[in-house]
Amino acid sequence: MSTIIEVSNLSFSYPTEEGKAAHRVLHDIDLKIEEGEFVAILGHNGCGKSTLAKHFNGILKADRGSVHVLGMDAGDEENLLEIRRNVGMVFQNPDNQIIATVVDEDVAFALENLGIPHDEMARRVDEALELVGLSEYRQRAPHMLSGGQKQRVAIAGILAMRPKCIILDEPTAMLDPKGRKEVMKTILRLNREEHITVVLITHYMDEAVQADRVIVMAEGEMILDDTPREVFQNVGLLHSLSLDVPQTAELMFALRQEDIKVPISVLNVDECVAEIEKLLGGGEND
Amino acid sequence: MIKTEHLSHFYSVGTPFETVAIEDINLHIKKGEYVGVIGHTGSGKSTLIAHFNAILKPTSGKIFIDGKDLWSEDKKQRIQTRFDVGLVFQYPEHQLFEETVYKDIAFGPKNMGLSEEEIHRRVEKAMRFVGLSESVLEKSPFDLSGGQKRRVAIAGVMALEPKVLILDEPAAGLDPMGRDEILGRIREYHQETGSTVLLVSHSMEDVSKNADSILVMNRGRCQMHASVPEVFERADELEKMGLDVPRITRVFFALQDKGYPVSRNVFTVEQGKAEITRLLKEGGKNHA
Repeated sequence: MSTIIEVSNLSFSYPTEEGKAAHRVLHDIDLKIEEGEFVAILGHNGCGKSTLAKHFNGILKADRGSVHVLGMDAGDEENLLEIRRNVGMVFQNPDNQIIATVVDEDVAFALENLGIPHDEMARRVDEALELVGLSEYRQRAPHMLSGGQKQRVAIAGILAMRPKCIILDEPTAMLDPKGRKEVMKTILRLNREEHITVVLITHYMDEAVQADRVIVMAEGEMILDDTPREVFQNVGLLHSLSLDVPQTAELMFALRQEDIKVPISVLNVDECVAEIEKLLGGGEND
Repeated sequence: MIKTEHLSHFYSVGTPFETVAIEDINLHIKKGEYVGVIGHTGSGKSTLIAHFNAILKPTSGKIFIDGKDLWSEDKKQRIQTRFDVGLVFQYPEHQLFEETVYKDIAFGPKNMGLSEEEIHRRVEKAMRFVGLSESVLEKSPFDLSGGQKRRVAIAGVMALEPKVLILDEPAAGLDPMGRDEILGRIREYHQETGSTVLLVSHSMEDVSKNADSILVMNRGRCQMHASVPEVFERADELEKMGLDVPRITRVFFALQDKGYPVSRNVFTVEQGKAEITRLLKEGGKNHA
């Protein structure tokens, strides 16, 4: 297994108007993302999570410290093309990411720029549309698609480059539950079956619990970095950062505050039901 | 307050692209009701609400606002309806355009032909409802943060003091803190003014926390319009439509299916906690 992204001692401030003190958005971030991982990043607006993600494929350049992608220095302009072929990014608003007037042309856009031969391009576009489940929409106009479908077109456009890693910055924030499920299913499939490394920035806890690893950010720093089960035990801390906690974990937390002894590491409905059964059965709890 | 009879709307009528957006909608929304409007994208919810303030004209069927036929010959009536039914679109901050926050919020009331004094009163009141401070009044709305811009946009509609306030996904794209804040403000507005509120949302959790009733749209039809518990009772049907019930509700459904004497009307963590502590107490009595 190789390291996809390695961030060491990264700090970043956005340039400000003259005379004003620069506002530092990231403070001394150290982070390693290994090939095949599915990492979710949580944090409220302005915590620096998008800024961090934009360093992963060289959209932003570190003020201090370094970012290496597949061993290449992201601060070196020479490496950017190769980095962006391997690390693609999907943004929040599906409407801002579609360029062409027909779905398959949109998916082919990056390939055309890379000078991929036509036959190869057609094959990759087919494959990418298949992976996101939109093969039958290839001749449609993107603006006639739903938000979830548009996001999947955007994902397909990246997949066509056969990247090692996809970064998604709140890809489901503007979607309905059905669109969210479609996109999440697609993301999981890419990670589990195609072994593509995934970095998912999200506000939705039910999405974060599906990751292998959850990073919580606040005020430009990484506060937590662990498995979802461990991270969502910190209900009090997550509340204080105004983040949501899955309702099931929240219920366990609320019961514990009443001195009812339940474990706090409950992530899904089934586990929650099982714990309440134990509690009511009176058998295994003390 | 709002009544529809066999309301239908087709897009691109007379072309090969003719599509049914909504069909045969028969609704009755009471005065002061807080309705959550749920449905996946393309289910017709935006088309439906655009009829309530006469932005769209029905292909067939009728709409009554406060008992009056919206598309009768009386054109004045229709103009009045646009003031009586305030519609906040999705991402309303994209529609800000004035030089200052004050002017932007005052735009609607000004068009109503109100006096300066009355406009001033309404702007101030609307700002209070959305939680904007006086200090931003003379700023350009474009210098504000995303969350503040959205508040300005919502205040602009509230300043019409509409009898019906319709909001299309007012929390979309906000983080949990921003979402709770906006929804809390709308709830206060509803309680204080007693106006009818329609909240279009994708989040069952948000709707169940705020609304009295839920209107479920699916494939252009109104599939359900009933109280929150009644709608969640039909969880299986909701799932087939690509909709969800809150997780916590699922936990209690599962417990009841397993034979525990729990209520099925649990939509929030607080309700869940109360229900379990109640059970534990009763369990204790039985043992004693």
